[in-house]
Amino acid sequence: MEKKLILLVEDSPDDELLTIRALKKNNILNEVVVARDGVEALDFIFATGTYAGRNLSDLPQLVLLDLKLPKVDGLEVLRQVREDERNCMLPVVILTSSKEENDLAKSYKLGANSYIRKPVDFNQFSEAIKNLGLYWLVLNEVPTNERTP
Amino acid sequence: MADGKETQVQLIKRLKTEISVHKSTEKDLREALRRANVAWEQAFQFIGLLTLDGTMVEVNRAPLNFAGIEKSDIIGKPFWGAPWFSLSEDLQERVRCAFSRAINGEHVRFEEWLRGKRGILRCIDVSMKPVRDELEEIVFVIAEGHDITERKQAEQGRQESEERLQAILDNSPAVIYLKDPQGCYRFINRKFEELFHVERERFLGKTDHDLFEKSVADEFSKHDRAVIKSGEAIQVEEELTYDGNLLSYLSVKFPLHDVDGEAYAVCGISSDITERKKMENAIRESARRVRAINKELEAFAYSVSHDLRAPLRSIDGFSQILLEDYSDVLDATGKDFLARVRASSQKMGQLIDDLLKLSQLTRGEIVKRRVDLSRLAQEVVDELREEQVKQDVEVIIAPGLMAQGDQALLRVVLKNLLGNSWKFTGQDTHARIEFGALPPAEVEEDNEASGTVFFVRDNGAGFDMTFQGKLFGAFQRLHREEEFPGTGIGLATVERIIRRHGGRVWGKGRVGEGATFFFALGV
Repeated sequence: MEKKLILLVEDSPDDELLTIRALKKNNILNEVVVARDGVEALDFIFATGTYAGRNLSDLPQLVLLDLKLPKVDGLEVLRQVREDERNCMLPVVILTSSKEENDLAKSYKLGANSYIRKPVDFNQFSEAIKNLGLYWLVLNEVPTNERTP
Repeated sequence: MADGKETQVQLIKRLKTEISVHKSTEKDLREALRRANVAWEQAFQFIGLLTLDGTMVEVNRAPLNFAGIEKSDIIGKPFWGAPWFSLSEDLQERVRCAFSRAINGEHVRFEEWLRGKRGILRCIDVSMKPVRDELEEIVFVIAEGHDITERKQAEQGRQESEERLQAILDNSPAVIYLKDPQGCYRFINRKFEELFHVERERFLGKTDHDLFEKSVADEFSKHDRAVIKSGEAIQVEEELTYDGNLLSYLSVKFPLHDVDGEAYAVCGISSDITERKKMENAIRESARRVRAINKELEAFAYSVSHDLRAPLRSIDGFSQILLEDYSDVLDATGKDFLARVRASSQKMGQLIDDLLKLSQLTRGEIVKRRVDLSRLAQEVVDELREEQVKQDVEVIIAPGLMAQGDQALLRVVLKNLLGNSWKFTGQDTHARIEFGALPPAEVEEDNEASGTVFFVRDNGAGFDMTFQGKLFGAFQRLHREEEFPGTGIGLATVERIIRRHGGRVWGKGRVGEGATFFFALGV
């Protein structure tokens, strides 16, 4: 089976580099598409704007979503994704600096599958990426062909 | 008279008739005199007859009975010397003066308290009236007295009760007034006079429209009419600007009814609530400011948590990458430096997290209820035993210690205090940690108001009391990192939680001889 892609929504180039490195280090070799703001992320998921023409049925296997983003913030991206019935199975993991109760509660309420706070310690961060990769890309089962364009 | 023709018989007959007429006239006269005498004697009024030198020549029974004397005791003596005038020389003098006015033709009237038998005092309305003969010459003075004690007392009672009421109304801090259904003032108390610079006598009869601007007067009249119409009391807040000050009143207005049940007036009692209003506004304003500040703080904390941690991740992450990817071009010193960079960034991350936790503590609501501190302490100790395995720790927890407070926050307090004891004890000796409450007798006076004093005591490293001022400051540490790790946020957190409960916390200790932290949660 072809390895599906990961959508990383992240505006910080440093965090992008560190996240990709952590994925690679942990042998998660899926293709990573990076969206650098909320609009890009939505364009990719809904195949609009710069991603117009992309095959809609080609859903990412996992979305890593930062909350603080330019243009459209992470919570809004999550809301729009979940609003569309077709995306109900799409695993969205919030990957952010914030540990505010408010953000946590709102994220889960909007249908986030997981909420991970990026630790300062890179080794811990790498460990967290390893675990979430193992869980969402390997252990987690989703029905096949659930989404029809 | 006789014309000579009259016969003797006729004469005798006429004489008889005349005698008989005379007789019956005499009889009539006697009867009239008897009646006059009865009336005179039995009259309810005091009556006496005085000659022009003031000698009493006649007197009826009433004054004699009143004074408990006989007629012979006073007849022929000066009127003012009578026993009922014996109260004072002044009184006698006044009577003498009145008498001289009477003999000069004046009808004199006066009221005096006179003394009767057994010292009884009655108020008498005295009249001294000159009596003239047919030549209009004054020949006597008739003195009368009428007992008006009951009327006088009732009058006095009425006056006293009126004065009492007036005094109460005038000394009331409230503005009190009475208006008729047309809105004319019928009564105002002194507070009303002072407040609006009016005089009672001149103000009565005026209306609100004479005193206040139209909109205010209209509002007042509206309330008054509502009272008259409904016949029931109302309570309203009334506002007006007077002398440039905005005044607020809480007014109770109620109708006064006459015997037919018609409302003939509206009475108002208006209490000044201007200060209360101001205070309420001030409280509302400061609550609003606190909310704004909290919101700002929240935004600040959010930004700290996001933006300050991001660069730290980069510093740590890229240092790690250097260590991994470029280890062959770095010597041991270089690697050590990078390890220090990483340690520092992680430490700063920890500091930021602790700071955020501290700020969260001051933001949330405090939910007070009864908390079993002993049980909470036991749970915390169990956690500590799991987290930081330690040999040879003796923990003594006094049973049944209850407190009123926020359970989650009090757990944080105990976690920090017991956690500190855990950290600072047993480096080389047997560790002993105790949680208890001071018996009331040992509570110092200035803490009495704070309620039960709890303490956490240990036999650990202790601290120098010189630095006790630094104990509860955020990021203040009394030990070096190598000795005891920490960010210096624990006691600051404890202090903040206790303060939010309205209590207080303090510490006592000596270097090498352990520390005791006391706290009270207020009452």
